[in-house]
Amino acid sequence: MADKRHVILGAGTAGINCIRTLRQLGDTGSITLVASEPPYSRMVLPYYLEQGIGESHATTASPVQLERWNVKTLFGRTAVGLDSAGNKLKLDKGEEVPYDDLLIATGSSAVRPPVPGADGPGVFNFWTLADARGVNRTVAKDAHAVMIGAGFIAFTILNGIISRAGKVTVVEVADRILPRMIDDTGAGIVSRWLERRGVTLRTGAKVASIERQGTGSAIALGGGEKIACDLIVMATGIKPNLDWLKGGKIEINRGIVVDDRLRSSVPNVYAAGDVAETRNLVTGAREVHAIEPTAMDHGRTVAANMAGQNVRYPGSLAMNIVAVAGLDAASFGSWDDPKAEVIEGHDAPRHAYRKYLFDGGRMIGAILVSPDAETWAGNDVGMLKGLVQSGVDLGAWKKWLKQDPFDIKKPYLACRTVAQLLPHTLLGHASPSPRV
Amino acid sequence: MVAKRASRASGKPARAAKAKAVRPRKTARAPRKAAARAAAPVRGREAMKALKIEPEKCTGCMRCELACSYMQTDAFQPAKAVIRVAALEGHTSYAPYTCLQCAEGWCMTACPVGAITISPAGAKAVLDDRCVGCKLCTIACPYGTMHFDVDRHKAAKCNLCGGDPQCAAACPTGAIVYVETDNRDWLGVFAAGRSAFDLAGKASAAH
Repeated sequence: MADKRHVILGAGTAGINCIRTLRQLGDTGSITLVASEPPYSRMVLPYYLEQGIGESHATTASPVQLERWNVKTLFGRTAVGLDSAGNKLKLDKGEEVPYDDLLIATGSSAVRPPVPGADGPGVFNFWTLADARGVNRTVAKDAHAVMIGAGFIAFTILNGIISRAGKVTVVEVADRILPRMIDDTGAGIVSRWLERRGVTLRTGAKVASIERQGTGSAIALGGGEKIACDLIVMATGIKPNLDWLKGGKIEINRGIVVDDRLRSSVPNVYAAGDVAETRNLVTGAREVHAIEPTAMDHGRTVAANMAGQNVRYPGSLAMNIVAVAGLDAASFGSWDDPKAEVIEGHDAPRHAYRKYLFDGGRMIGAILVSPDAETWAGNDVGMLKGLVQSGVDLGAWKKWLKQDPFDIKKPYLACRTVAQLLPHTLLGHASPSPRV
Repeated sequence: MVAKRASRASGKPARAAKAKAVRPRKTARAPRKAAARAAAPVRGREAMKALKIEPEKCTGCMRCELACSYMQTDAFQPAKAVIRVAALEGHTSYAPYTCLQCAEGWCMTACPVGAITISPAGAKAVLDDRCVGCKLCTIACPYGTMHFDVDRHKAAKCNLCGGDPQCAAACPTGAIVYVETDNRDWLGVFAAGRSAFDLAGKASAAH
C-alpha cells in the first residue's frame, strides 16, 4: 500500500495523540497538521494560573517533536469548508489541502450567555492559552474575582482563582453547583466546604447585565442586586466547533456522527474529541463526551484505523474529577440515572460521600466526595472506575456495600475485577511510552 | 531527598544501589535493558520482570508498605505507600496489592502532559517534574493503584523502584517476589475465598 497523505485538523488532545500514535505504529505516510493554535493542553492551564508551572509546560508537541515526527504544520489557520468528493480541505485565504484521509478534531469553543456587557472589557474566558494569559495578567492579589458558571470547567479553574485573588464569588444560574457532574448531596458537601473557606456562592442567580465601572465591573443580577468586582471569569459552557461543516456531506447530530472505527458518513474522514459523537460505554447511547481521556482514546483509535489496523472503539466512559481547596469530587458513568438502584453512604462530619448506581449486579455509575487526605489514604477512586468499566457482577456484595458503602476494596478484589480488566487494551496491544 | 526525586524520574534506584553496592548490578542489568529497548516500541513486556504476589504467604506484617513508603517518599508511613495490604476476613488474612504495570497503561495514556512513561525497568513511572497534579490518571486507572501524594501534589504509583522493588526485598515470607512472569489477578481467588465468611455475615445482617 502506498503511503497515505494524512491531514489532521486541530492540534488539541485528539489531534496530537493521533499523530503520535501514527508514528508509534510505524506509519510512514505524510502528515499535515492544520490548527488555529499550536499544540498545548487546556487541562494544564489552571496550574499555570496557580503559578506552579510555566507557560511552556502546557506544550504537548514542541516544534522539535513535530519535526521528528515529520509533520508539516499550518498553524494560525482555520478550515472554512470541506470538498469531500475531491478530498480537499479548504482553508481561510483560499488555500486547499488535499488528503487521502482526514481527521476532524476541531474541539470546542467557550460560549458566553447573551447578556449585555458579557463581551466587554474585564470579562474573560478561561479556555484558550490566550485567555489564560489574560486572566494571569489581570488578576491582582487583593482583587475580587467573580466566576460566572459553576460547572466542571469552572471548578477546574477555581483553585487557581482562589490562589491568586483576594475574594472569590461564584455565580451560577442553576439552583446548585456542579449540576452536570455530581448529585444534590455531593454538591451540598462541596458548597459547604467552599463557603467555610471564604468562597461566596450565589446559586439560582441569573446575570442580567455587566457594566464597566472604573477598572472593574458591576454585575447586575436578575433580582436587581449588584455585585462590584475587579475581574469576571466566564465558564458558562462550551460548544463543538462544527459551524464550518454545516450544509456539507458530513452527517452531524450533537457532534459528527461516526461509526465504531470513528469514520464519519464520509468514510475517509474521521472525527475525534469534542466534535465526535460516539457510543457511551455504559448505555450504548450516542453522545458527545467533551473530556480529555475520551479525546485521547479517540485520537489513538483514529490513528490505528488510518494505519490500516481496523480497531473498534469500545465506547466512552464519562468521568470527571475536580479538587477544590483540598476536597475531591469525582463521578463515573451513569451517576445521574433516575432508574438505577442506588446504594449510598454519607458521613457528614467527615465530608465524605459515596453513591453507587446499579443495573442488577452491575455498577453503572458512581460518585465520590471526600477530603483529599482521606481519598488518597483509602484510594478507591480508580476501583470505582474499574467496576463501572468492567461491568463485573457484584452480586451478593451489594448487600455488603449497603452495610459499609465506604469499603469498596474487598468487593473489587473478590469479584475478580482485575482478571476482567487485564486483557483490555485500546488498540489490541501494549501501549508504548509517550516519549521514546 | 533530592537524589531520590531524581532517581524516580530516571528510573535508577539510588538507595538500593547504595545499600547493595556489593552486588555487580551494572553488568547484571545491562542485557535486560538492551532487551527492553529492542522490544520497543509497540511490543508487549512479556519478557519483563514483574511483582508476583502470593497472598497465601502474606502474614500482614506490613513491611512492604513501610519499605515502599520509605523508598518512594522518604517517610515510614504506610498511608504513603503505593503498595497496600488489604485486610480480609476480620483481619485474619492479608493480601498485598499494587500496580500490575498493565499493558494498556491507562494512567500513562490518559496523562495530558506525558508525565507517565515506561522506565527502563518496564514500569509505568511518574516524572515528578512533568506531573501537574491534575488527578486525571487516578480516575483513568481502573485498578485503583494510581495514588496521589497530597503533600507534594503529585501523582504517585509503583515504579518498581527502578528495577529493585523494595517491597519484595522487605517481604520476609516471599509473598512478594520480583521475577519473570506474566500479569495475573494475583489476589482475586484468594480475596473471594477469604471473604466468604464475612460476606455471609454482612448479608444476613442486612436482612
